[in-house]
Amino acid sequence: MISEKYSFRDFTGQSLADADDLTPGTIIRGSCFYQEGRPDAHIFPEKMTGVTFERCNLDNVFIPPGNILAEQAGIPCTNKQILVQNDLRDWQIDAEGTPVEVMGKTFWEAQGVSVHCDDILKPLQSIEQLYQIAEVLNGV
Amino acid sequence: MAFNAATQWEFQTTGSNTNGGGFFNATPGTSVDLALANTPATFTDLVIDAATNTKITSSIRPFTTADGGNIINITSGTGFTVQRVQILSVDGSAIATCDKAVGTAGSTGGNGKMGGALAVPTGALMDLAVAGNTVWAKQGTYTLTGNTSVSSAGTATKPIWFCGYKAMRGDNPSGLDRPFVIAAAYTFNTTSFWIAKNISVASTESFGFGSVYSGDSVLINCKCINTSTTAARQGIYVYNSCRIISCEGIATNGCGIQMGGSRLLNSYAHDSSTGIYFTGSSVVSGCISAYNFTNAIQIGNAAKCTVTFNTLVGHTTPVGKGINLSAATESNIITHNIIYGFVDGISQITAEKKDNYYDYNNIYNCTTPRSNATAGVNDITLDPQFVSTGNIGSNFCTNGADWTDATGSTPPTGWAVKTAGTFTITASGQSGDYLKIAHNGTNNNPEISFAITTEVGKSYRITYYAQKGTATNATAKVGTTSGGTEIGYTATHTDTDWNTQKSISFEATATTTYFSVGATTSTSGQYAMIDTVTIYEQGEDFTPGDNMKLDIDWTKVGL
Repeated sequence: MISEKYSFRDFTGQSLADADDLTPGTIIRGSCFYQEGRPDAHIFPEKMTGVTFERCNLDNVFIPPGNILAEQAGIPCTNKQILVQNDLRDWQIDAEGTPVEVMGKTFWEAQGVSVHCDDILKPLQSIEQLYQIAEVLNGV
Repeated sequence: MAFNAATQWEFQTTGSNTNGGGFFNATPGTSVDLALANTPATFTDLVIDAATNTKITSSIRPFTTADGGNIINITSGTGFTVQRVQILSVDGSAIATCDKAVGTAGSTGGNGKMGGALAVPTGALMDLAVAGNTVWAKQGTYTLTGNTSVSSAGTATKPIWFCGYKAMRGDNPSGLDRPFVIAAAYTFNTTSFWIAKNISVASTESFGFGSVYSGDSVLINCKCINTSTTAARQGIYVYNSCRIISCEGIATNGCGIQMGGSRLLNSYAHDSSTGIYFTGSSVVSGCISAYNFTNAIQIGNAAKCTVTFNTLVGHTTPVGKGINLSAATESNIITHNIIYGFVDGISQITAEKKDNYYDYNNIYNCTTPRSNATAGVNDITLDPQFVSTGNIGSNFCTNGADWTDATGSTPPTGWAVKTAGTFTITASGQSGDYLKIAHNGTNNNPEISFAITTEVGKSYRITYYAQKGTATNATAKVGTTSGGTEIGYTATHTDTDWNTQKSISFEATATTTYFSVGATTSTSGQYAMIDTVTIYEQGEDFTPGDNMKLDIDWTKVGL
């Protein structure tokens, strides 16, 4: 049964670890549970099982075993692990925490901005630096 | 052949991205928009005419003249091209003629769906729109699970509209009635000659919502809040030659609204690092930029800008800069602005360019009214006497400074224990005494909460001071449960002095909201320090297009 309480809602950055109504058979559709800067965040009850997530954003969320991420209406769930790197951009990381692909890769490539992992070893850490890059890209 | 320029696309949360999703009124008075229907017409027996591959028939669901103009999503079938086609007409023999070849002539058994709304505005679906089209999104929450970076551009004479509505197309919703797109870490950008109207977005991505690298786009009555704590992530971001009208931008650690050489009118930027930041020749007029902690307006590498009739509000205790010309910018006109509550009212990084024109500004309650900028002969210094914004009524947190009755395991009066600890009123707080929250030898992470009676939809602001003390850090949360973070605010503080006031503004979603503070520690006796908590209802929330809610009596400030 589709949960009205948990469907089509924004739970970005929130923890539901204490929720007692995420029971087997619950279907959660179209909600966002993204946890910025917290890969593999444990935001659901550790013993939660039998919950089906449909077209949800579960990036950086640890999904306890026994739950399902499903496609619905032609839209999949997403469950990437994402972390900001030295270049102040979000990168998808692997299980060891190594950056493997910048988020929005196609977009950055189209702007001529490097999408190579090696380049993020060069720190770019001030707001001013990023603004300068933005201004160059804006052609001003 | 492209879809008809008058095609209208439909997104509803109850839709499906496998539906047809679009329609144009091919035969006025006869054609019926099936994209508005909850259930699409489903085909499993489509047949392509043996001679003409743009003509199709179906026995299970025969075409009628009412189908003219609808989009069919061809999903599979031997000899069929997976694509969306548009029915141009249907003849008396139930043969539908489409806008393009459906596949190989004579193919049978094609599958597809005609009509029905789409569900989520992915990049691929938004790119279906062609110049002149309108993309409608009905009120609801749309969660992106991938990037939406639109590449299909409109034209100057035939822009593409992306319009939110509440119940009926064209009803122009505002506030929470607008469709709400949760982009999270994914791109959500339109492109040239798109007009986005009545759309609300939440993002943590670098550029929030807008038209990042394409000019000539327009945003009207849109809102974007970027909650990322990473520096320089923006709320609304547009390229050159764009227009932003009656919009709202918030970025926790970036710019509420950032643009290249563009025009920004009647908009509201707030609770950001910098409210409004622009490069290139721009116009900023009739806007409110309030409660930002670095700049209300920052002019970067730009010239020939006009900044006029804006209301810039820092804080009763001056903070940041009102108008910060952070580059050697020149030929600007900066007039008729109210600049209130900043350390620097108008600040230019280099000595004033002689052709910058400053006048008719009211600079009040600013520590240094002007830096590298001379006063205009008609400048004034008068209290603008804001009456309907900022704190309203009394401080809800009646015991957030004296901490009365806190002792041992007993929390201060009015506060409830979420996780037990030891509570001590201690001297040398930010003001008077402070509250020490310590590990009691049994429970990790001691925490208390203060319940606030709130009204759904109203705005509130919490300010406080926190030090980590001997704990790992001090914590603060705002939620609809004790110790909860449902409002989306959770902070950990590692301060070692009282120098920085913390603040959070939020819109209530329940009749009771909880502000919780605590210490992160698993060691007996370790403590965090909290002081000077204030909780106030805020003046009417500004809504796009209603930028004068500050109720300024312009005659009092001579403007």
